[in-house]
Amino acid sequence: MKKKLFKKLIYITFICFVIIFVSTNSVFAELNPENMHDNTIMDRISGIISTILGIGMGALGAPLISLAFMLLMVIFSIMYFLFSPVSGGGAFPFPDQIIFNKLAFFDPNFLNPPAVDESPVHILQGVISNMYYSFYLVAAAIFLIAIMVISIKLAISTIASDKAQYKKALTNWAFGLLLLFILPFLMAGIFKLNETIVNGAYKAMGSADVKFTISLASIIGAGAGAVTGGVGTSIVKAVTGVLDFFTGGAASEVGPDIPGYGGMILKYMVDAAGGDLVGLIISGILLGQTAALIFQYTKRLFYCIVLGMIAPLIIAADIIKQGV
Amino acid sequence: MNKGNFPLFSNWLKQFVSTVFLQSFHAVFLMFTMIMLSQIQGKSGSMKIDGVLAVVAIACAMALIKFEKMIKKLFGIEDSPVGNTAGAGAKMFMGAKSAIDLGKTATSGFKKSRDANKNLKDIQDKRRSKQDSYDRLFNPEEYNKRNPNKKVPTAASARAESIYNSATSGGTQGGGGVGQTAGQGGGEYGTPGSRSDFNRMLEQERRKEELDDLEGQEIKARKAKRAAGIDKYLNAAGTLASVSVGLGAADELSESLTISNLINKPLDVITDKYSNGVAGREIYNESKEKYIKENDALIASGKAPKFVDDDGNRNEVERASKVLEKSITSSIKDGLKDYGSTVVKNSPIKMTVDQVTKFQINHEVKGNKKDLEKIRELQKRQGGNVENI
Repeated sequence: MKKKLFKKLIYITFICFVIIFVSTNSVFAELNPENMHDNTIMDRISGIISTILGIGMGALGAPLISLAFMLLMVIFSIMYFLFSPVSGGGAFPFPDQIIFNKLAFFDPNFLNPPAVDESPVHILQGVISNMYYSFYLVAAAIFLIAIMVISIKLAISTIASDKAQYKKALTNWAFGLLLLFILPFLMAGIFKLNETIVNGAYKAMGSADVKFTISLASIIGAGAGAVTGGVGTSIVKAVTGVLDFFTGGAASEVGPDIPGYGGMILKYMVDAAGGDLVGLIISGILLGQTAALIFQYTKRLFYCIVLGMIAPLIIAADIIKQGV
Repeated sequence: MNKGNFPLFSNWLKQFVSTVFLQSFHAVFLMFTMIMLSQIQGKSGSMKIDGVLAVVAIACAMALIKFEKMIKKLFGIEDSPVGNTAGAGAKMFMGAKSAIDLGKTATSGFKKSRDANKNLKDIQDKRRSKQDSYDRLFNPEEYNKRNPNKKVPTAASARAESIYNSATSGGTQGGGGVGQTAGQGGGEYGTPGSRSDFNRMLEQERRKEELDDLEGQEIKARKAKRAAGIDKYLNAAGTLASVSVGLGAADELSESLTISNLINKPLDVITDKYSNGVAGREIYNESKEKYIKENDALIASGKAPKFVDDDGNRNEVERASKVLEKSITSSIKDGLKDYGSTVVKNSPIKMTVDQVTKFQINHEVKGNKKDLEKIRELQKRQGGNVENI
């Protein structure tokens, strides 16, 4: 009976807070500075109420969030230990680092590999070149056989249509041979164009510095939570809430700024460590997306290597398919 | 080059170009996103918009993952429609199944906890009633202390009654009919030294064994309850973490749920082992503490021999206890079988002969014949009864 009453009380308090918060804040459609307003006294009061609710939620939900965060940390640690040795400097493979070629591991350019030990194409360079050379020789042999067959058939055929067909085959053979010779340059050109576009995008983005602040309050809260459990986190949240009330929210904004995706992931992980449910969910989603991108780029790396190695055989297969 | 003359090379070129240029598309898209985010951040002034930035960044990352399919379509590399339909159906089925599995895992801890609570309560009720019935017969003072409203005759009250009866009836019955069973409080087992007395001892042993079994069951049930209590939180937390990661790892809901379920399965196994291990160790430590207290009481009352007077002897017996301790540790997984068999670690060894015997029988400690010899030797020196070792 008492539990039900307590639950009802929590729901009513929450609904009242939402109503007060929404009704006392104007919502603007544009993000122009002139349409924004500074923190009003109602903002501060709603901040206090949300801090109290957060503390209350923290006391009830802190064990759940802490346990979920520990499991996220297991996933984060696995990704870090798998990829930090190959990311040159022990860095975590954040999405922007993967996409902008800052990690040699994911570079598929086996024709001009980065000269670093972490790069698989650098490690496999010998194997790839040997395989490519072997397939090249096989393709060359096929071309040789093909030209012999076409020449013999052209020489012995008497029907005009057949002769025309074999002449066409000869033309295709010559074009195929040209393709076989220019294939490495074609692939190198494609890689170079890709790198140029990526580097250009990175330079163009250079001025766009998106920074995320990892507040000291969150770091301290996370540490307190690790040592004393939910009580420590709640105390830190309470103190931060009070300071925010008097400083207009500045207290929870003090801390190191880290740019890019890395900053965002770390910020929300620290928030999750401090018992923030939203931080936990966002950091989980970001870690999942990072894992998906890592998987996608690792797949891409090996696709490029395999496609590049079998290229001579593809041209040779086309020649055979033309009815040699 | 006519596509018709070199179809394989044409396909190969499309695959290669789409694979390589995927990174370019990603880079350009990410560049636009970062510029947009920096503009938003720049114009926000003092407003906290980290949440907005996070949502935009998550949406951008989801789009990046979807780009691969888009680029393949752009280059004309399409999957077969039949494969797509079958694949979509299978994905939806897997997604639905994964959602059900995730729900079951998240709530399984609560069901386990409820069942464990009920089981523990049943065992405790059973044990209480058996204890009452044992005490009523063999330990009436204790029974009367616990149940002041349902007192049974004790030795003192029976003797008083016998004296009163002798006094009032002229002592014709000689106190034999009632007083003989005064110590037992129930009048069921006859005079000391008689066959009834022997039957009484057997019955007492039998009931004591039953109580010991129930105590062991209660310990197991408490361990299961503790483990279920920890599991409740761990399962829910594991599901929350895996769903968050799954939502990020795939762009479609069904795929996300499938990935979440795949991540959740090993997490479930790990959390189960953890909760059982934690609960098992807690129960073991509690049993140890209780054992120390009870044994101290036995030694104080002179009912158990001591091994601790001689420092040299203590080392040997401590070594013996460490061997026995190892056997206990290995059985935590199966739950403690017999409370009376726990061993004190890193403290003076105070084991009664009965407990050593029972422990050895229940745990089949291997290679400790030398240790048992030493224990017998010590028992002899302490003047204890070595017949049962």
